[in-house]
Amino acid sequence: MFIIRHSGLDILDLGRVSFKQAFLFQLKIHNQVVSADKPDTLILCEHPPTITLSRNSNVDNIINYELIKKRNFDFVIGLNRGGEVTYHGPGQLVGYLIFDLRKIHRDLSIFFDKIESALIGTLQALEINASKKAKFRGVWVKDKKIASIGIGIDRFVSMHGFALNVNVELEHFSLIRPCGLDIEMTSIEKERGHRIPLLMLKRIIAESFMKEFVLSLSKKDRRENVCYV
Amino acid sequence: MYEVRLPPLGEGIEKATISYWYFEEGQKINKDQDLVEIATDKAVFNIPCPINGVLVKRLFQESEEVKVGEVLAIIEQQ
Repeated sequence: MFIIRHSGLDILDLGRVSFKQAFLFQLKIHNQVVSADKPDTLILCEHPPTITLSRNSNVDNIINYELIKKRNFDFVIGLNRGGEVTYHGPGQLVGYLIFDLRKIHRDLSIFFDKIESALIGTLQALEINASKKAKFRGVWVKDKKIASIGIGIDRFVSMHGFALNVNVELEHFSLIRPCGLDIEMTSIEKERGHRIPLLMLKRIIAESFMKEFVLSLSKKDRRENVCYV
Repeated sequence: MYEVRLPPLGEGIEKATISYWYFEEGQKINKDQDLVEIATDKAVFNIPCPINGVLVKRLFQESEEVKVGEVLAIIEQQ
């Protein structure tokens, strides 16, 4: 289950689990990070087809509710995160970030920048040239979105996180207006022209988040403390 | 009286939206209880009450925008 254990950051892999299971797990880890019983934690997982809306989402951004119902997608509403409606499904890597934001002076801009940089670093390792976009959070390949971000914060510790399209069925995004925007989504598979194993990607993403969020340690310390499982 | 303000959220984030008030005016509230939920474009977070007291005034309605540094609520210390 652990990809990396470190005194400053644990990275866990839950495999494919329902949104509800992952949410309950997030709450458990969140309580432990709040009470300082656990270091910052990145939870990686995949979900079965699921549409989620935050508490502030606009239901008009669901384009085809009938088809969502017919296909028997899970449907989750009222989430304590930012952002609009989104789709999760097999072939999409979801990362839940349970991080104490006091370490970065509760600065949301720094937090979002770091998440985006870690994702861009991951994509660079796969020879995909991705970037940030002014005014629109997330990670983009030209004008197509490859990763979305939505965060909730309670007692200065974050929840929820990012969704990176790897080998996901992109047609499913047409059932919604992703993030409330009229945009095209893309995936690693689409950009590279072939599928990549999720396990390999998890290793790359773990390295990238380690690099971005555990900067205070020297390279030597990192090597001594990191335990790859 | 204690003024609860919208704290700095980070570079380039100048405003946020009141998402949900956890307490009505006149209600007692304890230190560290969630007072109000705030939403930015991509994040949602709670602002806890800094003292034990009574919520005297909510200065914004739900769905209203508020700028960083503006007073959200007034608490009477008890």
